[in-house]
Amino acid sequence: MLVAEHPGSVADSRMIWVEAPSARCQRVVVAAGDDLFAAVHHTLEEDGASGATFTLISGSLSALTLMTGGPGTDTPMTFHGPFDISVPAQVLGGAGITGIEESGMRTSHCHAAFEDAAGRAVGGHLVAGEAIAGDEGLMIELTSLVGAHFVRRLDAETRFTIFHPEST
Amino acid sequence: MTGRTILLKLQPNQDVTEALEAAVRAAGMSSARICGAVGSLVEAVIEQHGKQTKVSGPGLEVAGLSGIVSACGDTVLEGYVCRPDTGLEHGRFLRGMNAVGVTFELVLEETG
Repeated sequence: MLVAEHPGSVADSRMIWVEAPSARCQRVVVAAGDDLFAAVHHTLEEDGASGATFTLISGSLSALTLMTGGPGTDTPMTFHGPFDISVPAQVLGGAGITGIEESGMRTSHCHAAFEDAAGRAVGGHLVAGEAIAGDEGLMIELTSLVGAHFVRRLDAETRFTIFHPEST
Repeated sequence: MTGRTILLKLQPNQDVTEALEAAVRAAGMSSARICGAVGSLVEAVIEQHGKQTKVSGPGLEVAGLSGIVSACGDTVLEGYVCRPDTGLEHGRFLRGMNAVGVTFELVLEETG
């Protein structure tokens, strides 16, 4: 199995996990013209939830910009893009995590797959503010978390700023 | 939700299937459903319709990872692998051949 060399020292613990005392799963329809991440954040505010995960079930996007991961030149891994995707882009699958920045601001990260307007299968991570629900809306399954959440902060091993699970 | 729910982060360079099974065991669960996952692989080795495909990385993003994670070691995971140019592959992740790239962050719900 091919592995990667990261710039930081290898963490002793290879996994971090916490239990959420309470979680609620619900279907949510993001209305046509609404921003996906903003709709998730609004629902969590209404639910009083500190974090969430969500999966994309069906529907399309009327605006979509993707970034991807891949090899870097100065670093082993980096981001590529942005790529403007031809729309409407139909959902094939995908999921996201909603957590908070260290400042306390909500933030989401979503990896997803689509069929673009030309019928090409494309995927990557969604650029915030550039994923807008299409004419028929976008159905997601939202798992709201209470008592635990993901906090986005620097990971000492990889030197990427990524989500870490924490109890609240 | 009826089962216990855990939030999980996997560190790099461990097979994603085997690491998830270890996490389920550590949490005292027999099995768990993936409610949502975001992560990347060093490289991807997947199988679909009997055909094996290797996607070179590193840093390949995975979308729509799904499956039931079993503590007893018969987990089957599938999902999409995003190429750096946004091209896409879909299939079942072969055990022992898909090392976590930067991270995998997941929410798991106990099913057994």
